[in-house]
Amino acid sequence: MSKKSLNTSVLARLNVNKSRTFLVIFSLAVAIVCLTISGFISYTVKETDTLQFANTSNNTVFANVTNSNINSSNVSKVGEYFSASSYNYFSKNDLGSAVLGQMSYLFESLEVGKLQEKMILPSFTQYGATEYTKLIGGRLVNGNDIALGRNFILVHNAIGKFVFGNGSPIVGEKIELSGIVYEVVGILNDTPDILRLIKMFNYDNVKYASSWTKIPLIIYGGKSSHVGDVLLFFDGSIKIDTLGSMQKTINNSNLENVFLTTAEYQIVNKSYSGTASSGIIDISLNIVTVILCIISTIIIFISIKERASEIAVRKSFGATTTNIVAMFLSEVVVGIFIAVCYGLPVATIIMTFISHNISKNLNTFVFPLNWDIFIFPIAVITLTICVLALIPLLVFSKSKIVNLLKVT
Amino acid sequence: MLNPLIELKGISKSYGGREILREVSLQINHGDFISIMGQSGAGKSTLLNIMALFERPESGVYYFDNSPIPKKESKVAKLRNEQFGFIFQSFNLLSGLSVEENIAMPLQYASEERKSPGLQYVAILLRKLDIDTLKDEKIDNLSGGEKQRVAIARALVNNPSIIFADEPTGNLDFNSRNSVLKLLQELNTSLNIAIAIVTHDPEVAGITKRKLVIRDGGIYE
Repeated sequence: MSKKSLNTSVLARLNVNKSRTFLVIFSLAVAIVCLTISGFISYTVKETDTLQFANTSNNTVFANVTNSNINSSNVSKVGEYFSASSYNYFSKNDLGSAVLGQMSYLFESLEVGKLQEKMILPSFTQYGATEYTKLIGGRLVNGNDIALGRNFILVHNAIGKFVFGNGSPIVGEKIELSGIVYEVVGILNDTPDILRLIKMFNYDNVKYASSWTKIPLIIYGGKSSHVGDVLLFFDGSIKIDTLGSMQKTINNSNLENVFLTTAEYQIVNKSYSGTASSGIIDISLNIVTVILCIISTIIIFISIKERASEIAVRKSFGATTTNIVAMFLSEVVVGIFIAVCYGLPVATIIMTFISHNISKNLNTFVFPLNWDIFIFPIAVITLTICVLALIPLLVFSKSKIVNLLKVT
Repeated sequence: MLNPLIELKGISKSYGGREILREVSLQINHGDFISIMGQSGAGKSTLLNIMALFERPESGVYYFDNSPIPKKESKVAKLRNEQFGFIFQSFNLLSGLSVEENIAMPLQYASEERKSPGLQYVAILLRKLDIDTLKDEKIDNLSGGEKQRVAIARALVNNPSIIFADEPTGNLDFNSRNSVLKLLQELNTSLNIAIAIVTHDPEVAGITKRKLVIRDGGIYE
């Protein structure tokens, strides 16, 4: 054996091979559980006491949201969003005369090979609607539109081009949604999200958005009856999106009191208190976490106990407690690395399954998830397992060699 | 007179109120080949464990190469790594590692200056113990005799002053046993390594230069 091979054969030195099957199974189990949980963890809600929104153009505070039902993973981060599970947050009084509007979303949701119902998902008329948009063509709503109850619509530039073609002026075009014809009166600038989300494909010569693709359209006019939930995206301004699980078909005949604003709203004040108890999800999460910790402890203890004679032999030949602890902890880290490599695709499959089949019944889940949310849970779980491993490790590595040899 | 390699003076050890060793004194010199015999429970393994620093005596003093045994764990570990070799009855090889990796394992804990010659010595030991064709084999694929040869090679890799062997032939068939005994004799003669063997087997004891018997807590030669 060359010096190089001895020094570089990390796995051999760690003796990971010895429990390869166990390690892979353990790794997979850990990966599946922790990555699936990590989705939950990341969206574990925090109770929000107060969120205060203001119109940045005139600093008018239009909404003081104080409601325990506002759920948030972390609203302070750009791109993060939270769900609101009821609609009591923005009242007309809150909005005031300066802030009126509605944003609606057209969902043409389609899983490949399975056509789903076309859905239009507007928010309440009372909701502030901005999408941090700016008018780049046409006009905004005016008092006459409202007075006359016209059905009009403002579309994002990319959507307008998609629907009406590149050469179209867009403004003045008509679009029919659920039997009601809307006239495009204005074009809004595209946002990065819109460009990202507008992935469409053809099916039976009809253009549809792929599943989970959102096509925001702003629909104004007529009457509104929104049944469903909204997500508020916070990235310095408010965006409103619909949550897949809340999708309901709009009945356009109920559209009413539709107003527009292009003002941008920012969170001007926010405060939180405590962590929320979101019913069964939190309880389940806690139970699963505790079970995971118990299982991990047992597995680690068994693993170390099974290798007591190895610890004894290594100590016989000069290993110190530090050497033993370092070796096993290294194995744990290698195991978790393997777990992540194996587990990420599996977790993705699980989450994809959940997102397509289960999440529609869960108010507090949002899919798809961002990968960066896994970093923290993986780090936490790695640390937890390492700390858990330390207990039996220290016990065994400090034991007398003769006692260790008797264990196995 | 040569300094003794190991010197025990007045060593006592009890288990559960029963005195296993009572003020035992013993000297082992460089190149000694010692067998320790006695009935089951007489204390021969206890004596070996004390000499191997696997456990501490309740009273008495232990000098290795004229120096008292250090109390600090890291220094004891260093002493074990550099001066001691071990052969166990049940081999205690690491089954996840190859033959070569098992033999080289003690070098993981050796100082840098000992590592390099140790690595070269692995190849020599593989040839010397006639297991060089097995170097990449996993331990589970070896016979009992082959495993014990690997264990002996592992005990030798750090070029120790003394090898402690607890029933080294206890799990071997007749031919393997003879082969291992012959090997131990050769090592003692050619390398001048002291060997201390605990055994029940009078034939094993028969090949050693000094024969010790433990009885009633005392040691007799």
